[in-house]
Amino acid sequence: MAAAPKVERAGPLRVTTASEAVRTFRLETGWPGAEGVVPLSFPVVWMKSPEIAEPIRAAAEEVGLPLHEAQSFDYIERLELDRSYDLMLEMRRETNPPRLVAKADIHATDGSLVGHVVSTLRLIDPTSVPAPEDLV
Amino acid sequence: MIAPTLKSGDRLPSRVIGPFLQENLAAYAAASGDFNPLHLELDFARRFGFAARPVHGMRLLAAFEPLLQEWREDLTPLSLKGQFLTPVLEGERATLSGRVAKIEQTASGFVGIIRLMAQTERGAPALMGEARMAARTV
Repeated sequence: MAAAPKVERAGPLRVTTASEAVRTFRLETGWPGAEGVVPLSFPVVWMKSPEIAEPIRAAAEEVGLPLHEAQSFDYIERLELDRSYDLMLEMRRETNPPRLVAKADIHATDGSLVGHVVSTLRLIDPTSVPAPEDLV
Repeated sequence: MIAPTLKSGDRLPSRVIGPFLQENLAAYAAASGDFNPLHLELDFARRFGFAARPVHGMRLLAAFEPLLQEWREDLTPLSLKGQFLTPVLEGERATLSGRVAKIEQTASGFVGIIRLMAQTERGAPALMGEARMAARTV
């Protein structure tokens, strides 16, 4: 019988939509100007938080390179500029094939649910990859 | 109930983005916090079988929202998702396109389901995705 996926939970993790970070993200993702709404995809910025980045780093150390395979952002309400939010995290390790699935529920500071984010990372063992000179 | 202003089969105007240069990859890494060396270090990328640094998949997915918003200012996106398939490599462009797949009626109005696709310069699918859009209420 296959082992049950390893699941880690964390939170609440306080994050923000600081206007400077939103401006920078808008400019690098094709918006016509720096000022405006918080992009739906802005929560990827929060993935550098240690609570999320550390399990990714540990999985990478154990298995191999994390490669972004899929991503979703689903909202009940749009994120607002210069607000704080709380993330409730669930990190699930799958083994066949190796994956790390990070789910985050985004809550307003009053506890109401604002949206969900799911990041799926495929873990690639470098020894399983042919060298570029072996590729056609 | 608000009448749908989208029709199945409506198409987004396609948009070419890029070419993505090394400095673009570095700038996106700084903006997003994704410093995965795969996107930033050529030797590292080659070790994993890439001929050049691959563009962050999220950079492509994120580019759909401004396209959707410029296409239909009267609508607001509720969700965005994508699966990353063939990598777009440093120096290459990508073409974004989309089509309304269906309209769903809800208690508060309608939701349009938009199928999204990004293609590499070689015509391979770089990303397949979906957005849900509804009438803007404010």
